[in-house]
Amino acid sequence: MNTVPVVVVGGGPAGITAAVEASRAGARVLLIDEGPAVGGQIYRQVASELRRRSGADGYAAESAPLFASLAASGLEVWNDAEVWGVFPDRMLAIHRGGRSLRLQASALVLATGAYDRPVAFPGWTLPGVVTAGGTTALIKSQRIVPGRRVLLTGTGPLLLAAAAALVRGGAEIAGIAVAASRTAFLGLVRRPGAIGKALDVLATLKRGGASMSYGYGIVRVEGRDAVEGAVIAEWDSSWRAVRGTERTVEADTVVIGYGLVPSSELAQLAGCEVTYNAGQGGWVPVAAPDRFMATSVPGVFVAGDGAGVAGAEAGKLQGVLAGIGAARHAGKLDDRDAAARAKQPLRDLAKMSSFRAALERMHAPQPGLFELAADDTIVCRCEEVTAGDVRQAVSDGARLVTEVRAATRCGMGLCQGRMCVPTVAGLIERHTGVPVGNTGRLTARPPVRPLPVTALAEEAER
Amino acid sequence: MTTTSNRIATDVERGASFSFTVDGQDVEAYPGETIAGAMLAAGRRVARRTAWRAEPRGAFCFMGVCHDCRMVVDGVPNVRTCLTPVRAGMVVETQPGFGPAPSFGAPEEGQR
Repeated sequence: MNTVPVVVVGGGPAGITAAVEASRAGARVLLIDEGPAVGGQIYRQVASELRRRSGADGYAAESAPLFASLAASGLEVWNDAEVWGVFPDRMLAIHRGGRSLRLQASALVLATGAYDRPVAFPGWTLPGVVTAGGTTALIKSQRIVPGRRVLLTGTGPLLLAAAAALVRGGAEIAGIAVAASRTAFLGLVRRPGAIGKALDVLATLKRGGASMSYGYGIVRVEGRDAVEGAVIAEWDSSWRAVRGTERTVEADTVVIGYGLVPSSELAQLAGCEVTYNAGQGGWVPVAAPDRFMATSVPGVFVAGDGAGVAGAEAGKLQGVLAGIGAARHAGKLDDRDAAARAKQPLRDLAKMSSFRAALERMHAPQPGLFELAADDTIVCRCEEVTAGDVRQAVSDGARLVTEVRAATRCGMGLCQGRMCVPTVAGLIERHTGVPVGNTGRLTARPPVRPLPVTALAEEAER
Repeated sequence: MTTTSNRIATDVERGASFSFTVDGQDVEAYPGETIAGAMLAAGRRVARRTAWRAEPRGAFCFMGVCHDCRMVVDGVPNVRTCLTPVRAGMVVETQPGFGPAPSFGAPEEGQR
């Protein structure tokens, strides 16, 4: 078995700072990333086959120092490699180039990021409904916009980033429906450190003629084989549509961005204790900055949105801390040296706490979000389970997401519940009063990413 | 401000275009694009039809999580087209349900 002192999973901002920090401390580090190039979703790089003609955009400028520090460190990076399992003693199973392989990490940093919160409303499965994170990823890496006339609806800064990228990409903005009030929203994006260029973003939107509708949200999307239009309405503070305020919007594409859900399945596989935190997006590994982001499992550290959604800036600082912790665990730093190195990032992280609290308040889903789905609305995109099926299971006594799954197959498809469980948990809470945090979770099981059976067979023969 | 193409051309230069087929029809693509990206640029949004309700689905998350963009690529079902680079001559088909039974050949390079 090949043993590596420090393995970092995920090449976004948190993973890069973790890897670089551990490498600086003298550890041999391997960074594993599933994308064709590092950057994660937020700093996703334009495909190498496209030649950039003019200056870098805001994100590219923001990420340049990070990439430079990674290159300078000389540490080993694997791209197009998916970690599909974590087994006892930090043994990783990796799918790379059609092959499966394993290696042992003395210390492991999981910086697995987050994905857009799935929101079930009538029409959300129609082609042309896309996520905010997906929209920015598509634009950043391929310079392709998902549609020509776009309605955006959601909550936070990521939605605005998507809108600005669409405007710059030449798409027409049919509208931007933001759940928060104007005061709350502007108060957040104007804080220092909110998103790279929040005010630039607002200016870009204004130039593009995009109209913001504060206190508005999605009701439904309409179309036959793809999006043809949508209905939005004024939302009250619990995100319930105000009767009589519905407005039809003509659009060929609808971007939804109601926050992010941490990808904590590898941490769960590793056996890390997790806790439910609505503001941070869902189930997050228990870890504290002043303990180097160490989880409950010795030698396993977490950083970035996968450790609780907090944005790139906080993620970078958590990454530094996790990198220090990992190097210390691998025997490359003594306690004193580790504590000295952690001082500044801890201080910087503490400074961000009030912004993060405001962000969490804005992102925490309100009850109305789980009342959007009609009985015939799909909740589980893979197994085609409807909200009506889930409600029936709940009225038959299901109180856990696993019980709903047993009754309906909800969560048994290829996405492994990532697209339905947040909605199922919300529906259980709406109909029974059982808090989402008490509805349980689906057991993470390998492979957490699909891999061809031929890769496993080939590994067995090797 | 409104563009006539879904491809942004203001700040990048693309290589030479090539074609692949979707359900037998030629679709144009450029180096660096995924199958889903090239399809969107061509205005094609439907990747698959669901098994039970035969509903249309297309790329939703663009990061390999939702699995709704999966199609049959060169005979291999359940290929996530949002992650898979498009290549000249690829034969891509709308996936019905769970797709045809696989032949258990090794996947082509680049398929995931």
